[in-house]
Amino acid sequence: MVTGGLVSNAHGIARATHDADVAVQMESGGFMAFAGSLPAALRLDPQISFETITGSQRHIIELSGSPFRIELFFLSADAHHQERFQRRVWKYLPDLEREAWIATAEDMIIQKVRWNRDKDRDDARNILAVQGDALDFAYIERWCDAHGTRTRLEDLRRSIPPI
Amino acid sequence: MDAPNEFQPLMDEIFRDKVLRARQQSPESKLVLGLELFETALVRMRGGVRAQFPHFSEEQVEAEVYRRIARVRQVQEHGFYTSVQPA
Repeated sequence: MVTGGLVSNAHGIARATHDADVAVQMESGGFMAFAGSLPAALRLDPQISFETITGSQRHIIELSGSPFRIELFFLSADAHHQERFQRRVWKYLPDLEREAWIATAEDMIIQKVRWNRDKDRDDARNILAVQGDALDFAYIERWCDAHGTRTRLEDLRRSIPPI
Repeated sequence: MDAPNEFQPLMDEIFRDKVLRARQQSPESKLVLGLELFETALVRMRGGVRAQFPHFSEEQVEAEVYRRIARVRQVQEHGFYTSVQPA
């Protein structure tokens, strides 16, 4: 499932993004086979990192000749990540001539409000403004309450001028 | 969010315009646009490095662009990830 900046762009306002975040559900044996099957233009960084909020395991794939990179996140046991993965939607991307699972707008907001870096707040605010009443606010509020981030969400909503 | 200031009405108007334009674009096209904007940013970064270091070779320009992007990532990810070396 594609997530991160690319999907924030899809649901909100496009900005330059220097990586593609992909959440994957894979057994460790499957991952080793996947890593071994990568084409020569893609290099798997042997260093593994963990996102500190949810503990998601991250692997980085570097592209030969480009500073752009792909970040693979193993689906963690985190309750929101589990539900986010279940709610993903299948999209055809005509410009890329590819189909892909992508995270929903609601789940991007919940994730961005939880991470709460400057660019995350900007992305969440943009998605809130662009999607407007189309969002399932009961769902967003339920997870923000669970994460203790409801105040952040409300601050962002209040900051949006009438459109 | 910062407190409202004298520029707030202008900032709100610019934001409103961005939102209305984004609503006219398909999600699929905006997803791809993020990649295109990065390519544009790379071109501009290379131009900036060449202007700052006119004696640099193309390889040095590219290395400096990579270094700057790595620095941006380092700042954005500070305290956000913990790394482990593979066994």
